This record gives sequence, C-alpha cells and structure tokens, in this order.
Amino acid sequence: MPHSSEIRSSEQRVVVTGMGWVTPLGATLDGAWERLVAGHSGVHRTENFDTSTFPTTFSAEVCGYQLGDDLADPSPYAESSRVTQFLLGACAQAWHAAQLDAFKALDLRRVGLYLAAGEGPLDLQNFAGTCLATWNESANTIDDVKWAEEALVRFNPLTELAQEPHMALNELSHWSGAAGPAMNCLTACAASAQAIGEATEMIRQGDADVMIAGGGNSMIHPLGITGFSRLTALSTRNDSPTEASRPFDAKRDGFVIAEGSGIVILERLSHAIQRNAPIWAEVMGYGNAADGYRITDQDPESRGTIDSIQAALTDAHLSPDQIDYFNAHGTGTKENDRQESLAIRQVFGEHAKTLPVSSIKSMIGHAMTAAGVIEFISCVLAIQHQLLPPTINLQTIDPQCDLDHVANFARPANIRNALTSNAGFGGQNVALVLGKYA
Amino acid sequence: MHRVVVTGIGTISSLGIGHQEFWQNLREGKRGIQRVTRFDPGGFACQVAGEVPAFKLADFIPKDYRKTAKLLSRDSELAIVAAAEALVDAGLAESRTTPAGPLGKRFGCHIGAGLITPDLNELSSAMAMANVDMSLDIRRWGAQAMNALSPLWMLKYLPNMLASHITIIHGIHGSSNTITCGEASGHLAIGEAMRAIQRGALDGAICGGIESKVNLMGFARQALLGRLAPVREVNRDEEIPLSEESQPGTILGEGGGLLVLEEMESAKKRGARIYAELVGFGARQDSRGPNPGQLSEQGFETAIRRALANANMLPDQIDLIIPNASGVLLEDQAESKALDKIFVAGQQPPTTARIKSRVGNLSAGNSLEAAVAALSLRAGFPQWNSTLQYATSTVKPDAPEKPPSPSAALSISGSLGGQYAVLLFRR
Repeated sequence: MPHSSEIRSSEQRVVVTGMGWVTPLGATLDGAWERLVAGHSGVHRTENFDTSTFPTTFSAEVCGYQLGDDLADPSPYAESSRVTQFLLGACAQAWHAAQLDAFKALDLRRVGLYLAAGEGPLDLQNFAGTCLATWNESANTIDDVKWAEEALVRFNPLTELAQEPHMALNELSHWSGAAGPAMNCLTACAASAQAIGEATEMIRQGDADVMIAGGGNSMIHPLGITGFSRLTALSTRNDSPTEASRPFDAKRDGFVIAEGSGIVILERLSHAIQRNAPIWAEVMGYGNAADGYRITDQDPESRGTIDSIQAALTDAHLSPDQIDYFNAHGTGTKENDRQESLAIRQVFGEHAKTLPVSSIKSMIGHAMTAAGVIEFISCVLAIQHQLLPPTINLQTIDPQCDLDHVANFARPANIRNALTSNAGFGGQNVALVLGKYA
Repeated sequence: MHRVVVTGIGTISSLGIGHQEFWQNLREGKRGIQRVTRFDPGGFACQVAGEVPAFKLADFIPKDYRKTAKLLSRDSELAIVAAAEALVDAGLAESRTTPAGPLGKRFGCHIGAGLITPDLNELSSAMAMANVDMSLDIRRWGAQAMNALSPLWMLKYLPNMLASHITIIHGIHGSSNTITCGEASGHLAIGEAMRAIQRGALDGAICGGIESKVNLMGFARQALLGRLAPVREVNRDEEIPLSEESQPGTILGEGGGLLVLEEMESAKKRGARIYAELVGFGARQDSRGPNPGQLSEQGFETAIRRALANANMLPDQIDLIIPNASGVLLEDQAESKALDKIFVAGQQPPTTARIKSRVGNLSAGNSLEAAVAALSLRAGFPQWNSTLQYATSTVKPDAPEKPPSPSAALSISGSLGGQYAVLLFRR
C-alpha cells in the first residue's frame, strides 16, 4: 500500500498539532490518559443535582474544573454556559500545545472552527417556575399571555442566549481570534467525530489552513437525564456505579452519561512543517453514512456503520488489516454493542479475530456530542504511547460481541493506524482513521 | 473538482407550500405576516409572525409513515413537507406521498436546524405533578412526575431528527449532518453539501434549513434580546411602500427552503431540470465578542468576498442580492455598509430584494432566501424593488435595458453567534 505522501501532497494532508480536553477523569491530557490506562472509572454518584429518586443516580461528571485552570483571564466568559466553558478550556490547552501563540505569522482568517457543542443547560428553576405559575390545571394548558409576561421578567437574556449551541463558536473565536469559516453540528453521539471529519475536509478543500475542531456537552441535569431514562437507555446499576459502564459484557444494561469536551487543532501539513509545529498524528480518512432506517433502532444489518467504516478506510487508502486498533463507540447498551460487533466482523473479516477493540466509555462514560473527539484524542495518545486503553468491567463477554476487547488492562502494542467509530440517535454513523505521522 | 447544480427546490412558509405558490405570492407583493394563531401572543409586544398556512401532513408523507406523525416536532413536520416538495420538484419522487429512491449511498442530507423547545403543555402537565410551592420539586419529578412523559419524548426534540426523518423516508444513505448555527444554519448546510459534491463524496444531496420559532420559547428568547419589532397588527391589504417604514426589529416566521443539489454531469445525464449552478460559498466566524448578538460589517463583508472569490467572480457580475436584512436596525446598518463597500463603489448597484419582510425571519429556515436566489435565475427578478433599510446607496431603478432575469444572484445570512454564510448562484 502506498505511503500517505504518495496519495496526498503536503498541501492535502491534515495533521493534528494540538489537543486538549476536560473530562470526568481529569482536565489535562496526561492526567486523564494516565487514569485511562490504569483502568480508573470516572463514574460516581451524581452531584450536579439530586438524583436520589431517579431511576439512575450516577453519572460521569467533570469535577472541580475551573476555567481559570486553563485561561489566564477567564472573566470575559463568566456568563458562558457550562458547555462553552469546557470548550474554552480544551481549546486553550490545544492551542498552547500546538504552539500557536508563538507563531506570529498566523493568518487568523485562515483559522476556522468546527464544533459539536451541545446546547447549554436550560435555566430550569426559572423555566419550570414560569410554567408552573402559569399552568391552568382545569384547562390542561399554559396560559400563554401570563407565561409570556412571567418569562420576560424571570428569564435572563444572556443566560438564554448562552444556551444556543452556536454561541460556543463565538466565544472560542473571541479567545483565539479565529476568523475563518465556522460551523456547529449536532448529530447526537456522532457529532464531534463528524466535526473532526468535516474540518479535515475544509482544510483539504482549501477553505482553511488550521481548524479548531471538537465538541462539548453537558446533559447531566434533570431534563437531560429524564429524556434518556424514559428511553431506558441508561444503566440503572445504582449499587455499583463504577461497574455500571460495561461495554460488550453480557450483563451490560445501558450507557452511563458523562459530560466534558475535547478540542484538536487540525492543520495542513505544509503549514505545520513551515512553522515547525509539533505533529501528534495524521488524519487519514473520514467516512459518514446515514442509517435511514428508524428513529428508535439501529439498522439490524449495521449497514450505516459498515458503510462509514469502509468509506473512512477507502479515504485513508488503507485495507482493513492495516488497522492496529479499533476504538469502538461501545456505549454499553445491548443494541449498540451487538450491532457494532457485527459491523466490525463484517468489515474486518479474519482480521477481526486479532484486532484490538476497546471502549473507553467503560471508564469515562458517554459524553454524547463530545464522545467522538474524546475518543479520537485517546487514539492519538494510544499511538503516541504505543499502549492500548482497556475496556474495563468486562467479566463475561457477550458471545455476540466476541472480539479482543483489551479486557480490563491496558496493553502495549505496535499501533500505526487506528480507527474510531461513533453512532448517534437518528441513524448517524461516522468513522475516522488516523495514523502515526511519518 | 465537480460542478454543482440545483435541480429541485422545496419551500414552506407563510406564503405557501411549494415554490410555485411562493413565487406567485412574491410577485403579487403579498406578505404572510399576520397575528399569531399558534398561541396567544398577548403577553409580547410583538404579536405577529409568518405562520405556515394549515396543511394536512398526510398529504406529504408516505402512508406507512403516518403513524410516526405523533413523534414529530413542528420543525420536523415542516422539514418533511419541504423535502417532499423538493424531491418531487427534482423529479426524484413521483408524488408527495411517494418516497424518493431509495436514494442510496451517494446521496446525502445536510440540514440546518435550531434548538427545538419541548411542547410546553405536555411538559408542564408533567411538571405540575411535581409542583411544590410553584417550583419544580426534583425528588417528586424523579420519583413520579417524569413518567408522565412518553418514552420517546426526547427523540422528538433533537435537532437532528429533521434529517433523520428525511433520510428514513427517502432511503438516503450518504452523509447526514445537522448544522445548528442560528440564522446561518441553512446556508451553511447548503455550503457543506456543495463541498461534498465538489470533492466527489456525493453525487447529490438534499440540503438547507427549516425552523419554527413561532412558539412561546422562541418568542421569549428573541424578545429578551430586544430583537422583535413591536407590531401588534398587520394590515394585509396595505401596500408596502418602496422605501419601507422604519420597523426596528425582526418578525419571526416558520418554514424554510430545501434545495436538491447534484453533480452537474450526472444531473444532465438524467435529464434533470437545472435551476442554477451553485458556484460560490463563503463563510466566516466573527471574532468580535463576547458581546453577542451584534452582527458586524466585517463579518458580512468577509463572507461575501469569500463567496465571490470561491466563484471566481467580481461584484459587478452580481445582478441580484437577497440580503440578510433582518429588520434589526444595527444588523441592517452593518450589512448595508458591507454591501456599499463591495457593490457600490463606482458601479451600478445590483437589485436587492428583502424576503424577511414578506415571510418573517425563519432563523435556520432562512435558506428560503437561497431558494429565492436560485429560482430568480429562471423565474426573473422578484417583481418589486425595495431599499435595504438605512442603506447609504440607492437601488437602481428598473432600467429599460435590465434583462428579464438575473445572471447571478447572492443570498446572505448572519447569525447572533457570529456565523456568516453567503451563497452565490449563476445561470
């Protein structure tokens, strides 16, 4: 197979020059990685709000994070939503890691942004208070006029605006000065992987030279948890939270919701070389395919997942047996893990028998729109350290998921190319292939 | 690099469903703005909006999809209708109740959408069961009240459900994306689909934005930001004067515009009707802030220039501009300055046609205006001319030598989050 440089010129190749994240296992690259490879769980009883009567009382929260940890001056962003603050922190880490502050000739008009920022948490007490104050029990409806009058008094304009998913772009642009093209996508659990893929294409097609790409999410609040609980998508293993996220295990009972963010700096290779940038990995391929099946279920033949993986491999000019590590979406729901395993066996054939497949959601939980970028970053770190992160809580492998899951313990390996796969509600499927830069 | 053409257009707004009805109403100078009926707007200073006229969803979805109807948010409903219109218009679906395709792996779906607020009556009915002293008691909510919500409740309100339903109904298995950038969402989605076809990742796509902010939360949020025009009543028979009365603020509407884009050669091969070629996409993030909600001259200017450069065209080649023209004074002023800079200096300024004053500000659905730009190349200049509010330039009068339809048209969008997106269509 040809080397990457024979397929694309340095004008067309896209590399990762910086990374940063804010996660339930920590808000530094090294700190969280150490805990991942030690098999630590970031899951514990929820503290953000009182979950004592909810079906699920635990989650993977970001604990004790202050924006001042990453920003010299966090004060301009005091009104920003929790999600935006996570993203600002990750962005600052990535920007510094990429040594972009030192590069005086950076053309900010050629620096774009592609995020998967989830909406900021609803101002619940004011929202609920307004609804309850204007609820007409006998009519079984809100009194519209009273609701409006109440809302206009109770709601804070800046708080409401901060909830909009595209406001994070504004804040990150303010902090970094980036003035290139920008987008925010919300394709559920595939979103930040999609952001990375689309950002890569934007560089390849010449719309930018550098892209700030990734995502953030925070849905550990009453209505967020309500939604997933009603879908029976969440694990209810309340008596042992650290054992609740068990992708591929026969006793898995749903995913564990997490919050957090991740940002990668993607850069045109020629641009990175010209400024002597640190190069962490290369983005080789991107695939995106819609299930187009049902809103409630995945395609039983995993067609969308298979197509997205194959498209990413084709884009990377790699054959399936050249993938050394598969970072699974691995949410820990009965359906996802089974469907994903089917897809992996279909695509990788013989190679599936020895291909290491792990899900870090077993430790870090499912950060929804931020999952893709967090998993992408863990693949870059895996390549850097030549170490496979484990799938913990794997006691009895589900026979339908029977693959090498790097069970319970991290393992050294020769990792040249990795593939990360994500799927989202609504039939979204995204795959990214990345490799050691050479 | 492949060339991209528009082969189908589906619009939905207060001026009707389908672009034929829409264009006819535009030519007749009609406005779709009227007093809000979807809720009682009496608590707001702005009590009008552009509401989509009543329709039967069953006329626009396949029979076997009707049972999904109760799982649809308003936004999803409107999107399904617009998609049916667009795909029939493109000749890819036989009728509005017959799905297209399956359109397969080389056809994508890139949709612009907004935040979708849960139905307040449904939610409040549940919250009422956890009401303690007029506030939500979280313990009662978790123990009991939340179970009043249907299991699939959350799925109704995810922004990517619009694209999800469209891909399911029409068997679309190529790339699917949902862009959430406020008023620039629809334009950005179209631009992204364009790029995917240009690089050969897709042969076709349905793209654009749909949204409905005509609900209590939508109104409240815009009102809190001081953006809504304090209009209580609209006289529908009133003629809109050429230089429009100062109307400080925007008026919301619902709906949007979806385009079917195709790779040019394959469109020609199947004998598709081609409305226009999409030749330019320019986007920019404003690095002003964090004083949000201030659209800037620089943002508009850069996005316009990028679209022109992308198309390899000069300003004097543009005959028609559909400006953002939200009606919010500062936003319009910023846009006018940008337009003056680019289009006026020493040239005959192009015609501008404001659409929001006809149907309202559709937020993510403002890609309806991109549809107008694309349509105009065959259908002609929109019948009326209108000055851009507070524009320092004057719009050229109907010159006798003016051709019957523009040869190149530009559609501009800008969002409160600082995203600007411009699309350029050419014959």
